Amino acid sequence: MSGIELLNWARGPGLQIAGAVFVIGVIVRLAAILLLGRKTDLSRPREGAMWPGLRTVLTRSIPDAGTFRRSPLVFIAGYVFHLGFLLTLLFYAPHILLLKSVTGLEWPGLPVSLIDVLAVLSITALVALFINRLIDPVRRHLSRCGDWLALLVTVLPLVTGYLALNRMLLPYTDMLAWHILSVELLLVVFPFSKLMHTFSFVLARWYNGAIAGRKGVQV
Amino acid sequence: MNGLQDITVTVEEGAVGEPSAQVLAIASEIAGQLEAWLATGETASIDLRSLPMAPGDYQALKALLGEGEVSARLEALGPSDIYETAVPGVWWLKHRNANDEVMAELIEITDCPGILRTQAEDLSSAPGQLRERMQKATVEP
Amino acid sequence: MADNETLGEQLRRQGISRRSFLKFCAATTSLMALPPTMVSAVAAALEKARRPSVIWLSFQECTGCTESLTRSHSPTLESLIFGAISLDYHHTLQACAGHFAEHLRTEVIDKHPGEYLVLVDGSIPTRDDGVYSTIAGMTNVQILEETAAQAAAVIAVGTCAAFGGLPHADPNPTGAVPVSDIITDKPIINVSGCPPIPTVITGVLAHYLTFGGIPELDELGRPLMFYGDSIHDRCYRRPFYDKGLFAKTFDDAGARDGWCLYELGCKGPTTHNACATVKWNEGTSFPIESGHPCLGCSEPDFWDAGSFYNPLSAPIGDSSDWAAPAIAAGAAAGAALGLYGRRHKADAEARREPLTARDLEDKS
Repeated sequence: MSGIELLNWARGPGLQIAGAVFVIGVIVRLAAILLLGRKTDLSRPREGAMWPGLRTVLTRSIPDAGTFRRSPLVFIAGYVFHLGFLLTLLFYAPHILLLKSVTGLEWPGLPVSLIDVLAVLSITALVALFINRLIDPVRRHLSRCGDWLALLVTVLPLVTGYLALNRMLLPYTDMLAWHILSVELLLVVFPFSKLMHTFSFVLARWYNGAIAGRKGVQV
Repeated sequence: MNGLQDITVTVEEGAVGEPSAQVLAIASEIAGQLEAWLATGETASIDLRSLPMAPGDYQALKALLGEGEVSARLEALGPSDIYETAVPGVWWLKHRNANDEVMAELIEITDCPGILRTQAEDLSSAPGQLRERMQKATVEP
Repeated sequence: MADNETLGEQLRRQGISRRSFLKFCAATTSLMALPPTMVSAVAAALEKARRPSVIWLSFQECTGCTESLTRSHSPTLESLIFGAISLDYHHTLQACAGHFAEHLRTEVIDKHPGEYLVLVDGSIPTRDDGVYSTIAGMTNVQILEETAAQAAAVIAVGTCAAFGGLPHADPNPTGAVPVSDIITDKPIINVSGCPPIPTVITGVLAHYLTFGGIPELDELGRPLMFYGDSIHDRCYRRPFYDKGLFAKTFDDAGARDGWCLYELGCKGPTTHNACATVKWNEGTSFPIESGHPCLGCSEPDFWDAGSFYNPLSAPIGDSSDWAAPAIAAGAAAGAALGLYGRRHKADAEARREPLTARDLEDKS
């Protein structure tokens, strides 16, 4: 199969299969969480539930000083990766065109030179997190297959995208095909791995915050 | 069908603007080749068709190089226009076919384009040719 | 018919001067996309070149490739090349017809085995024993196999012959295949494009004539000298791409200022051809220079790569075709799983046996 045939498959049937698995998977996982339901709490909430819940969704994004001091690398690399990944995903012009063709929405992009830097930063951050997980005995013992897999499927689209953008290693057509295929792998793995936190972190944090709010605990 | 010139469309040639980055790149390559020629005696040429040029780049390059003292017209398989640009040693060659369509367009960095010289292969038959012409001129009263 | 006279001898016999020959060589060198320093090498090789016989086979095609070649912008050059090759069979251009024409084809095969070139335009139908295209009672497969068996090399002219092209497009009713699916034991040069650039067709012929062999090919069998770079890499609009300046419609200010056509569906980044440098119509322009995105016509399956006007990064096909059913399926499966989870929880609660401190004491 030549590069262009691989690319056509990736842009066509490949994307449809991966997209369908992703959409079905995410909805099933979210529905399973939401429909499980919680026992009605008959006590009068001290501080309300909704607002403390929402506030917690935001406040948990800010590292508290103690935790930050204990493992600054995880926080810094974590932030760099998440911001870099989101910005390259959402503000690289060709990605906007892809999202426009699916959602109909459009917004201005960032210059290619900046995207390039962001991609390098994100990859570096992921590699740092990988090494940290590998050499820190506690983290290594806690790591399961799913953790390594999540790292791998997240770094692949960044690396292949960066190589395609800079016309490195393989002809552009081939690298673009592998980039799209790696994204498809990410889409397929996503709902069935810890990558689901992209959506579930909101639910988890809100629930924690809501419980605390009801009890009047300051968080 | 003689080609594109039969279609009554003329290409508008606007005022030649500032040379683009591409034109400046070609010009600095020529400058480099001139220096190399001075240093090593090695002449060079550039195939204008192999370069990606934006509309207007061609005119800008022509204007940048200007026109020098020598121009020649060659009639071989159609006309060729050859002239030295305002930069000594930089020649512009435009080869056309019998239908006046451009076959090749080159810039040569040399003291005289090879095609202008008398060709050794043709020279060998030159004395015979002249004698033949003399004979014809005298036999026919 | 090919004979033993070299091209140099032939040109001298015709009274062509050395200057004319050198000019021809300069044009041929430029045509083959070789650096001008190669002119003397080309001259030396052409001097000794002998005229090969050429058989041109037209199968499932639109004659666009032949049209392109016969409108090659250097008629004199082309006529010289055709003086330098012997085009013995081309049933679209041929004055004679019927069995007489077919006789010429078999005569070349018999007289010059292993020496003649076969040029093919059009794809070859294979479904239902290849009945969808026949010439003189023979299917295209039969003619191709018979003609190529003794050929020195096969040149597939145009995307149909090289990759299947339009006849091969989904759902491919005739089972159309490219030359390379039928002929596997001969060197094949793919000169793709819909149509190929005329000077590229003559350039490949000139290369064969000059150097006798097969030029260096890419993974799709195309000569690297013409198909080595992508349109995007050689495009004069590339700086706008790098700056992120894109035309959004065909008539906006960006389009008028010559901005990049990526968002209008340009396939330049994944298309390999010489359009951006060799250009079309006497080097006048090429599609992108005329304001239209590249369709990717020199690549396999370009008809099946989605709309010509969809950006390269957008999916092929309508995402609503699968997205809506996927959402519905996800909702249904999610609801079922959610209800199952609730039941499971209720069951667990019903079966729960409260444990008190006394129970623990009893058990210890």
